[in-house]
Amino acid sequence: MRILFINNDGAGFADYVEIADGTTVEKFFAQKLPDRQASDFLIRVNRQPVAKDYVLQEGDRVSITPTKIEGADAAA
Amino acid sequence: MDSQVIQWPSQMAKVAQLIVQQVTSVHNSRLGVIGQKACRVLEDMQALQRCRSRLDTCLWRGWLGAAKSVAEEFQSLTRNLPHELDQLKSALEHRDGHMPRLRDVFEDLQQLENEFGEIRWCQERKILAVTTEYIVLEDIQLGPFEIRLDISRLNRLPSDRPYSIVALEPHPAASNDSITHPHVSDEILCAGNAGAAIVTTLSTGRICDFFVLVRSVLTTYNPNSPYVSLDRWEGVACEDCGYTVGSDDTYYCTSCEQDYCGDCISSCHNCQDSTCRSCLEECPICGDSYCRSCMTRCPDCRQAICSTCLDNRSCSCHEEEQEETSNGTNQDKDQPPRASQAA
Repeated sequence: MRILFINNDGAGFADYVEIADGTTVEKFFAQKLPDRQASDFLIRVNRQPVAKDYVLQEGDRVSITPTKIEGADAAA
Repeated sequence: MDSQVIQWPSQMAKVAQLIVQQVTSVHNSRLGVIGQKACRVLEDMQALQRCRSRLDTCLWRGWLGAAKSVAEEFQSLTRNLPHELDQLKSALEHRDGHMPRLRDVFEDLQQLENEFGEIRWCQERKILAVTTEYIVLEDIQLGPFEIRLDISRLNRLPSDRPYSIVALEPHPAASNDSITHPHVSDEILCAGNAGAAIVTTLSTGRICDFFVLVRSVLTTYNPNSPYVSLDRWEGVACEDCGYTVGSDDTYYCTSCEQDYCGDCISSCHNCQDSTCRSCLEECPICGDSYCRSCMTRCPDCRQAICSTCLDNRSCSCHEEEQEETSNGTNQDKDQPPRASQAA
């Protein structure tokens, strides 16, 4: 099954990825961003907030955006 | 800025259309760059081909001198070619395959409205804006910020930063009015770790992701790299008189490692390090003030004096010695020469 994954952590690229049938949002997050806390991210499926046990569907658009990003000063 | 809340789908569609036009222009210019870089690689390769033919001819005719000179041309071309290929590779890496469709951008604007409550549009300046929540970092109240995206400048990506951060209830750093947030100066955000993702989101028309990323930077404090750190946001109290001054007007005493105002700081006469008045000692010989590092003790009388007076042997005990020596010498002069010396 193929979904569109938008990873705004890092360079912010979007790409189609293959996932197994029955993959929940929680499992998908753990696969893509291991060792990270889901509470530190804004997770949207088809631009809407969903429950962590939502089962992803073919063609879904999943975006993961960090809610805590360190800025810098201009010299940094 | 004279802006209005976007209320109607038709207004949103017009804004989406403008965004698509601008982003398409970015893509076109990037594809144009790929063509230019590819042309340079091809020119180098054609030159290599011509060199090879000439080398074959030279070798067949036995013109070894000419063959040597063709080989040098080869060397020059092979030096240039990897550079041109790198440039082409870089241009290809900076292209993005995801051209936004009008529908995607329209849905992005709808999502943006859901995430921020409302979105504002300035038709005259082509600025799309949202307002963050009231931001408080480490107990410092910074207030809400308006994130403004200048759609007319989207086509200048990635060299231009087409967005600004405006404090709606500014509470700037005491030392600098233009710093309204630890990571915002003169309305320019230094995005730090979000920099690359911000360029990607804008150049692919993912407008909602852009605004959410900027909000994430504004609601996070990086103590390692602020314009002004939050512990100095309200200014710094002088350790001596207690007067609060902006951090740019404070002076650091290198001896006691505390901050002082301009009236309570001085400097060491020798090393010129800024030093507070209580850390300065007056040399009893020359009368100048010195920091603790530049004060020493006379090894003979143990009196605290500055290192310069010690080097010059100006300590009072040395002066006494000198006087005694000088008197002794004078007495010697008055005595008649010894017999051996006279002989």
